[in-house]
Amino acid sequence: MRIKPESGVNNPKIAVVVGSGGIKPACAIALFELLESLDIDIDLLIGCSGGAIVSAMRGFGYNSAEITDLFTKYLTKSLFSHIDYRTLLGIAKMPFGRFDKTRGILKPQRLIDVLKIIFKNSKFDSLKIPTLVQVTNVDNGEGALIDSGDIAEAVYSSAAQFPFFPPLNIGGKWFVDGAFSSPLPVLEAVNRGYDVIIAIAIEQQVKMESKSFIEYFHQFISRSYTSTQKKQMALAIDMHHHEIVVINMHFDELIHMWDVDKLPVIIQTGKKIIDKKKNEIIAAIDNFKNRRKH
Amino acid sequence: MSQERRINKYELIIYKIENLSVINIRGKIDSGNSEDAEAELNAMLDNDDKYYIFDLCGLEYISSAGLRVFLSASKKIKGSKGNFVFCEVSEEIREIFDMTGLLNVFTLCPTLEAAAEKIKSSYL
Repeated sequence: MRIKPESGVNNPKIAVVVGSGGIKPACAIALFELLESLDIDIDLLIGCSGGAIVSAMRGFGYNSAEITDLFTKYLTKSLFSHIDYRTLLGIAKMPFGRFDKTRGILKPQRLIDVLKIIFKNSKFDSLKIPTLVQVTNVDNGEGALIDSGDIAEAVYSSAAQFPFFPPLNIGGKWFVDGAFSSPLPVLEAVNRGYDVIIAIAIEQQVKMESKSFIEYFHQFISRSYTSTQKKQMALAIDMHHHEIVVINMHFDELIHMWDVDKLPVIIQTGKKIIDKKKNEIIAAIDNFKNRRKH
Repeated sequence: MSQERRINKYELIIYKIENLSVINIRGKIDSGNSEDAEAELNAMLDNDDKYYIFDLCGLEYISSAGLRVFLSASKKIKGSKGNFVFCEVSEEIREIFDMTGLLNVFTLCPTLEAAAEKIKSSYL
């Protein structure tokens, strides 16, 4: 399925891109609320990792209140605590251990099952808003976008931070977290010709001193994602023909990857920041219409 | 929606200090005026000068379309083997450069004097 904007109308084609960041991309709920209140339709959603979960929920047709409820009800910390001890033994090369590219430190089935409940075992062709999910091919490191097949499996792969979560085989390829290749896939919206691109970037939170392997690992890869994101953003701006409204989500308090208890803070912060960016979004749309008129 | 539209105005002023061309950029640049700003800036760059300081002390806001004006100017200047630096960049504009990866591309100096020193060092 090749998704391209329609042409020949004054209204801009609008893409919303939600970047990676664990639970924090749930702040995009505030953007969806704003666009609904202004009667602005989203023509394409692109999500990566945690951003893929919230984008696919919106694409599936859930409203802001329902997305909040689903996060609270289903995405609990227990999904991220089911350790695969055989894999751990395998990483340490201990007897009875086993490690290969199909395995992760955490068992994924609970998370996949929950996503299947949320998306009701549906396929991409049932989405109300076309949605693309950014993943990374674990064999060659290349980014890919999934726009067909099982929604839950694609969303799981996009959020599967290897080696914590194992890759998933989709169409004969093993996919993991899209953030490894494109944490904020704005270039895809540029390539597909969308006029106004609203990008939710989750600001990396710097903790002064990491006290564990996991903390250090997350700090390091977060910085690496940010670096990749900025390089891709510069290229996207240079290549684009209208406006990319980048909304940098900064959180005052430290929120860990899947700190679901912080959801109210995340949503409130999102509202505050989106409110400040409201006029920029409106101007980007108005300027496009005015340019077309002239 | 139109009631909330921003009033976008910008101003470009070119002048010389110590034989260096300084372009002072003020106001707001977005998709509503970026084509005009790009044409005006490119016209200012159509001369024998190769080295420029872009003084952003009066720049209040810039969108991605406005950033493309700078990228276009950068290609023109670097294409003629010249160089340029920015100075007096506000914290807000600096954050926009940072978020969009352009801090890695552009050189920022805190003051006009520092910018003059920096640009001189690129041809001395």
